[in-house]
Amino acid sequence: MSDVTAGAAGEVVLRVEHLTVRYERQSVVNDLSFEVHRGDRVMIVGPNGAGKTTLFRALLGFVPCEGRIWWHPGVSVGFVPQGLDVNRKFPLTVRELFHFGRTALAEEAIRDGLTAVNAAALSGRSLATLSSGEFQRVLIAFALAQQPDVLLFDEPTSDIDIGGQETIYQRLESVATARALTLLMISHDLNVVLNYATEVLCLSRDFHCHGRPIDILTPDVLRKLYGPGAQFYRHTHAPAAEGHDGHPH
Amino acid sequence: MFPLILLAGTCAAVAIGFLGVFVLFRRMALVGDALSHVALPGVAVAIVLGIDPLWGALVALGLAAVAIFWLQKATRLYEEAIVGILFSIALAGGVLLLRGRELEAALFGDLSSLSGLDVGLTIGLAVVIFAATLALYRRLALVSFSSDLARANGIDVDRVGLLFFLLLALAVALGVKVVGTLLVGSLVVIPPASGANLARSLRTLALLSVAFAVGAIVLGLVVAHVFRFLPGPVIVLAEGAFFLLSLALRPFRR
Repeated sequence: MSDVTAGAAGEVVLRVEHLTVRYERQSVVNDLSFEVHRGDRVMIVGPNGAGKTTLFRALLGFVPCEGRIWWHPGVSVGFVPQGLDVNRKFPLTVRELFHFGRTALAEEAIRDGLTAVNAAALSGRSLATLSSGEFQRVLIAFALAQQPDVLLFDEPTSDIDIGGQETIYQRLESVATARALTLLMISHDLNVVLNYATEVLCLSRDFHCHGRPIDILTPDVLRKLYGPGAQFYRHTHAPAAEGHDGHPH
Repeated sequence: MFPLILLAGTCAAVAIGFLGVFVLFRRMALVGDALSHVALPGVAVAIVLGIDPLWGALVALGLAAVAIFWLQKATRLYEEAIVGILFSIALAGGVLLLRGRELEAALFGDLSSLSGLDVGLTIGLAVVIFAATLALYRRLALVSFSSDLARANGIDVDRVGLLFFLLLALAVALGVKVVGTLLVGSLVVIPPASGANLARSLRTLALLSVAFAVGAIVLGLVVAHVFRFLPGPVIVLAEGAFFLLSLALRPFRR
C-alpha cells in the first residue's frame, strides 16, 4: 500500500458496525461496533465463549453475519489460526508449506516471513518434528510471507511456554512497526495486552468496550468481563490478571 | 495384448498413486473405498447393456460424487456417513443386477478382456487425473493442511473439495477396470500409506506413492498373467507386500 500512515492516528483500515453473528439462532457476537486504524495493535480479550474467534471468522468472511464489516479497499488480511484444525502429522516440510496456496510466493517474501519470527532455521524441518512453539512461529511466518497489511492472530490458549510467547510478541511488535502492519490479536494473557497493545477490545456475551489498555483494563471492567471472582494483581515487572495458571516468572 | 495391458495399468497406477496422496492427506481413505462400491450398479448396468463398464462406473460415480457433496451440505452428516449409506445401497443393487462371471469381473476387475479402445480410454483418463491433480496441487495441499488457512488465502475451499471429489471418482472408475469394485479402495490408500511410512516431505511421499503403486500393479499383472490368477487380488496382495516392506524400512529412513 502506498498510502501508509503509521501510528495510532493512521487512517481507518477496518470499521465494524453493529456486528451480530448467530449460531443456531443464538447470538455469539452481539451488536459490536469498533474501528481499527492502520498501525494499531489491537488485542481482543474476554472469557471463553465470548465470541473472540467467531469475530475473527466474521472479519475473514468465513461465517455469515448481520451488521456491517468494512475493510479499506485493497487491504490484504493475513490469518494465524489457533492451529486446531491443522493436520500436523502428515509428512510435510516447512519449506513445502510455504509453497502452498493460490499464488506462488517469492523466495524473498518467504525468507522475510521466516526471519521475522526467528524461524529461518526451521525451513528444512518436517512439521511433525516441530515443538508447539516452533509450529506457531511457522504459522505466523506463513501469514507474514503473504505480506498482509493486517494480521489476525488467534493466540493458542495454553500449549506454549511463557518465555516463547514473550519473544513472539516482541518480534511481532517490531515487524508491525517495520512494515506498518496492523495487528488484531486474540490474547489470553493480560500481561501481554498491557505490554504490547495500543488498543484493547473487551468482549463478553453482553458487554463490550474499546480503548487504550490503561483506560480499559480497570478492576471494574475485568469484573464485568470475567465475573466477580476476577482478581487484578500486579507483578513487580508487569501487571497480570486471573484467568491463566501461574507461570513461573 | 499383454504389453498394452501393462502400459494401461502403469498409467492408471501413476495417476491413482499421485491422487492417493491427497486422499490420505484429507483423511478420506474410506471414502475412496466406499465410492468404489457405488460404482458397482453403474458397472452392472453397462455390462447388461453390453457397453464398456468404465462408462457405467463413470456415470454412477459422477452422480454419487455430486449426491454426496450435496447431501453433506444439506444435512449435518459426515462425509463418511453419507458415503456409507450410498455405498451399501449401491452394492446391494449392483449385486442383484449381475450373475456369475459378470459379477466376478465387476467385483474383482478384468484387464484381460481389454480392447485397444479400452487401453486408449484408460491411458487418457489417467493422463486427465494426473494433470488435473498437478494443476490443483498447491491449492489442494493448503486445503488439505488447513481449510481455514486456505480460506484466508483466498481459495474457494468448497470448489477445490468438489473438484477433488470428482477426481477421486474418476480415479476409482479407472481402478475398477484394473482391480474391480471390491478392491479399488486399496489402490488409493495402500501406496500412499506405504509412502507415509518412509517420507518426511510431501514430495517424497508423492514419489514413493507412485513408485509403490506402479510396482504393485506391474508385479501383480505379471504374476497373475504367468500363473493365470485374477489380477485384482494379486495386485492388492503386492501392495500389501510393499506396505510391509515400508514398515520394515521405516527405522532406516533418513
